[in-house]
Amino acid sequence: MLEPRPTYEDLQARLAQAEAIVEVLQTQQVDAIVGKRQIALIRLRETEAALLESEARYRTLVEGSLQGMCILNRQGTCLFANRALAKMLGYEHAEALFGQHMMVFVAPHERSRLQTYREAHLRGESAPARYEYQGVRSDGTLIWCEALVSCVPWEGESALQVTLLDITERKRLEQEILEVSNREQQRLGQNLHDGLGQSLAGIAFLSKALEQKLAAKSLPEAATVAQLVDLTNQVIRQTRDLAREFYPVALETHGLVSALQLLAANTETLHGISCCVTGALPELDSALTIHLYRIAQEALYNAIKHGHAQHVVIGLSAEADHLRLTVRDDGVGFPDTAPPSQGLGLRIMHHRAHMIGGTLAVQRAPGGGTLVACVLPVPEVSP
Amino acid sequence: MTRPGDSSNTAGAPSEAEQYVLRLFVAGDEMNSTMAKTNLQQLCETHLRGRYEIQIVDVFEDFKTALECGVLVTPTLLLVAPPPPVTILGNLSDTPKVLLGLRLMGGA
Repeated sequence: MLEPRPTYEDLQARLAQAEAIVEVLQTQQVDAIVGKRQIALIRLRETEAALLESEARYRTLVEGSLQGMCILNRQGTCLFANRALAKMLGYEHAEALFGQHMMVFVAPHERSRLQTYREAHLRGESAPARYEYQGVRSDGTLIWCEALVSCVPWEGESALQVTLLDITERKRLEQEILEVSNREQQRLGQNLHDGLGQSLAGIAFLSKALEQKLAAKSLPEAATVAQLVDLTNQVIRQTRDLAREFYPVALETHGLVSALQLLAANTETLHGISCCVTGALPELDSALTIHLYRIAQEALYNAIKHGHAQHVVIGLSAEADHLRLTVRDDGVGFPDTAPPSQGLGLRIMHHRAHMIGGTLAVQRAPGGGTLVACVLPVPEVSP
Repeated sequence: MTRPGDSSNTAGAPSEAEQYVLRLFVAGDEMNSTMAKTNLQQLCETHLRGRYEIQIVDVFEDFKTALECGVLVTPTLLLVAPPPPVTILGNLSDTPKVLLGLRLMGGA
């Protein structure tokens, strides 16, 4: 049977229908095509849907994360950031971070260090994948951040993916713990010096008097009491050394250089090795000096106990933008794996360096021995 | 043409207003079909409350009706009443365009 010939209006209507179909196909709003014999599902759309779904899942993951996340391009510009990061840095919306250079959110004294890390990461060279630094919030306040960095492809180029955690509170607590520990050591040192030391001095004085009385009567017990006096004086010296170790009085009264010189002199006497201090540092506040002193003390202790060093040099130097404390010895060198006891000392040294905004490096010194170097930015002078 | 379970009828239609009969052709629970159902329901509740009837036709179950109505793709919405009939394709997410097509915008 012949179909009737379509009219011009019929053809126009069919063309309009075809155009409408093309449009919905292009905008991917079609599920299925209904043919005369079968229905064809549009599989391409399913793939697209799966992609959309997985994209939505990742978006939820990133947007819902409590950790700050961002993507930085090779130049350090923020290509993407999540809400958690915006909140952490004091911004209302993540979009406020887009297009900004990452250094805007980094404290000025940390910028060169982070710049070095970033460049090394992008070149595929070794750089810490996890580090702590001080950032700046939108209102100018400082914030402590822990960063985890990895190199990722982003729109065809290599970029850095950074995950950030706000560790300001943790840092504050750590600082507090160190301060409490410093205070306790100081208290213990003073008690040893003033309490026990004074009592021992009293015993020594009375014993000496007794010895003289016994000697005047030519009694043989005088010799025993004389031994008692010697023994007491020995204990007094040990107590004084111990007190000094707990709390270097010279640190407060004469500053870091004098305290280190005293430490070096005592080390020479006690351990029979050569130890000296070279260079100097400008006057620093007491929190800073106690950390530097403890770092030097620990490094010196390690040089003697683990390195069996014969010569130790404590070096101090101040440059335009940073201060440096080094402890160099001629011992057996730093072992590849430190024993646990030394590991704890090392960790505390690292921690102290971080607390004062610096870094600590322990390495084999050229020509043998160990070199411990603590580098910190020149502290800002408070008005 | 439609099965009882496929249609939803809203009660209490005002007598003076025109009753709308809308037939939506879908392909099972495919994404665009599901979106079209949701969009149409919302749109009717907003603009035609109390005076509409939606007939859902699943082409997997009722292939014949789809062919008879000249449906070539899903989702497709047919305005059965009031006349003249209108066909709107896609998932109905472009609300102004759908309202225009259903003569519910621009003096409707």
